[in-house]
Amino acid sequence: MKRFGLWIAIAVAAALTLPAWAARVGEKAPDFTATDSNGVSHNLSQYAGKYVVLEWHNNGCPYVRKQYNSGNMQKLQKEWTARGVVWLTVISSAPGMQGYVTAEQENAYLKQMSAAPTAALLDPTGKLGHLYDAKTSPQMFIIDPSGVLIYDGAIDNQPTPDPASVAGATNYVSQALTEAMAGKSVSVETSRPYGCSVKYAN
Amino acid sequence: MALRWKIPCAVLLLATGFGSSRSAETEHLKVQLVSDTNSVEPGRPLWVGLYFEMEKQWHIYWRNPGDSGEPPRVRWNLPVGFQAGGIEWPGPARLGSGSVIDYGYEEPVLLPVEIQTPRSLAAGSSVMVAAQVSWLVCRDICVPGKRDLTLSLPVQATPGSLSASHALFQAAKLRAPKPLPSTWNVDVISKKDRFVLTIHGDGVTKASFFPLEADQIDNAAPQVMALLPGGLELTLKKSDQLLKTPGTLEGVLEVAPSRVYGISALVRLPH
Repeated sequence: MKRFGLWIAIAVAAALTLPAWAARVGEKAPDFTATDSNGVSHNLSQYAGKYVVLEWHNNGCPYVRKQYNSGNMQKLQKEWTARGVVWLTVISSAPGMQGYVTAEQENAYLKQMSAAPTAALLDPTGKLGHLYDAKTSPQMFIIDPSGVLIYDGAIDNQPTPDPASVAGATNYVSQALTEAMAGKSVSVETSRPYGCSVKYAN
Repeated sequence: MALRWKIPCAVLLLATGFGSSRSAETEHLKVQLVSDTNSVEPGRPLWVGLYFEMEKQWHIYWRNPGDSGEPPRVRWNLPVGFQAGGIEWPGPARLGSGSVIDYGYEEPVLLPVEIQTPRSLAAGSSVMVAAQVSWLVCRDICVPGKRDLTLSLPVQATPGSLSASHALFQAAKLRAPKPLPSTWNVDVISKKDRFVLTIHGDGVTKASFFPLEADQIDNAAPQVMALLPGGLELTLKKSDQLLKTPGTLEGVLEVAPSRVYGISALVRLPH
């Protein structure tokens, strides 16, 4: 009986927080404005004509660490930005939650990790996270040059924090970008994003 | 001074790091490999289980963990002729709040597994069941864990006596999803952005649906319920990741605590 009182509360809270227009593969990706760790503002619309990758990130999550400690995420960032892709790391952890970083902390982390995103967007209010309905870190979105969302999901097909799983994994981001750039249709457009929950404010 | 402390630490490492054990006390949870009976009867099923007890507010996940997380996994190392079935998952609880909703267990839970045994076992011998268990346990943060557990049981030609863990197996049986009563009916219609689940059954005045497959329903969206004569209707918002309507909707229907049913309903399109 108590639980259904809770259900009503959840329904009200959900109605207030669920985005009116969430990102859906095959549709125009929602435009956004966000500030990076150097105080520079970015809009999705300014990147029209380019592929954009959004990488949801939490430096304490074992699934994110799997990608960074192995150097795999950095390798992807370098490889794809060199090919003209705009790679935006997004941190939607609320203050006090795991993964929350100040601009200085994020810049120190990027340097320490030799990470190479185009920019790291700081989203402590969770506005960008909720706009895309990002559930986990990592979670990856790819937007094509015409502004259409072509991939939403996991980084690869190995839903485990085990570092040994990186080698030999099918990387869905590389696969989708390779296919799209060759003019082919994306074979895996969505996959269940695996990882730690994005640490939105309670 | 420094050396005196180093030696006891080294001993502690050796004691916990090497060898297998029946139970493992790790960060935020305790996991044990238990059996329903105290011995194995040749040719008869042996029920074993992984009993997880989490620290307060920590949880592990169901076979479909929901928006985030990962279910526990087990790899068995069994004697020749033994065959382990899959985990018989008890009905989960809905975990989390806001826009990320998961399915799993916060309360202690036994994950039972049925093992087929060969008739050729010699009475008086003993067998060892080994399990390599890995899991993700979370609260506000997540900690992956892994442990090797073993269980040694004597072989007896007669049915084994019930073990001290038998009550855990009985409780797990109560929590296991049952087939729908024959007099009940579940119907699923796929609409543009939602599934409408209609349930007709005796005494059904509330229901909660836990999907077996990921990316079919929006786990965070409230399941809006409307009472009907003889049953109710549950509206399940579709997942944004659902690109193609599935042929069936499978999952667990909870109509009351410990009244949990496994359903597999064909998805109809509206006329």
